[in-house]
Amino acid sequence: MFFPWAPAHEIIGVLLIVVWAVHVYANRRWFKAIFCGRYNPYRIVQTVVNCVMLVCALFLAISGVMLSNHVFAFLGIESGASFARTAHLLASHWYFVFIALHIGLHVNVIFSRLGIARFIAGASGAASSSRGVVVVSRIAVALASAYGVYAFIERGLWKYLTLQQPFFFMDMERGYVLFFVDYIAMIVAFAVAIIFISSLIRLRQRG
Amino acid sequence: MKKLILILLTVLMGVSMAAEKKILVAYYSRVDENYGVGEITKGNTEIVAEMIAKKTGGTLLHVEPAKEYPKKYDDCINVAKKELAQDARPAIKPVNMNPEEFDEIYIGYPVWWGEMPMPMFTFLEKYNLKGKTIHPFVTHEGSGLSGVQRLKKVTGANVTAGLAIYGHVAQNEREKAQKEVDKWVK
Repeated sequence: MFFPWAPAHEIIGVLLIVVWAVHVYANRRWFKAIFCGRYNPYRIVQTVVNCVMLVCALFLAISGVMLSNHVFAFLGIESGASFARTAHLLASHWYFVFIALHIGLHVNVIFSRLGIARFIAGASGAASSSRGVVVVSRIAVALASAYGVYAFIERGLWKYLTLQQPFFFMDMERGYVLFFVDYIAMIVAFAVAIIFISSLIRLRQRG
Repeated sequence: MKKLILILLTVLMGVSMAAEKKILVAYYSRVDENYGVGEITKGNTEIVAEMIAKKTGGTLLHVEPAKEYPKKYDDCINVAKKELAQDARPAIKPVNMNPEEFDEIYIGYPVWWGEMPMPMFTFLEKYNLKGKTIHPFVTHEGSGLSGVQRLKKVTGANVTAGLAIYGHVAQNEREKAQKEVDKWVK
């Protein structure tokens, strides 16, 4: 079991759904504009990513409530555990991949909010020796992505995505630290992949 | 002279019997419809338990709930989930031996919702197994060696590195399962 204290899983799940709801509400204008304007390839990619995420989040939340043994136990749901278990496993892993793609598509916004863009731009704009910051950060991202691809294969994530692995396995020998390192590296890898693809799309659009 | 030989023999027998460890292989296993193997007439965990008992010369003990679980897999996991949520202790059929009298205990179960099926809790809590050596073995379909933390907690025993075997391997690839058992049981 990933959580030594079982209710932690459900409490974190509920908190994440609340964060999700706030995020969706804060960006409600995007949903309102979905049927407006023209769709270019980049916008199609963005819309597909967001819609898949929405479906995953809904399945994850509904199955989570159905599976709950603590927080939502008062609802007294006593059936559908088989469907809910499979739905939770599938939705969570697809959600994970698409969250990484979503992060990749919004990396500029995230970095500018966090002041990272300014830091790198400032460094590269200053003395030539500070260009090293850009080079070093690019190498770090490349290494993290390569490791992310390795972790994706090593942990058999594709097996979860295709239901070849129908039950979650927590490798206690590798422990929690490596678990988070691996999953964060996977996010970096997917984000970098979509950044690369979308920049190609944008180049073609301009060309 | 005859008397001396008799005394010597008795002492020898006593020593050899004391040296031989008493081993128990206690397990829960379910037949009927199961994940990955369909309808079965012999439980996956039972197959592994018998392999272990044969190899160690241990005594088999099948822990059986008083009320059988539903035959259909989907119905069974609904019941099992409810029992886990309520931290229930389903009644078990009477057991005609005392695990406390054994030196080493193998505990086997299928992983249900990442834990031992609840009748195993009913069984284990009946006895004082604190400080005993327990070797856990499980059958699963991907979750691996799960439920061991609660096994440790509920028994207070010295729980060793366990064995996790895929249910479908135990059921359909017995030679492979036997190899895994042989490697694990030293």
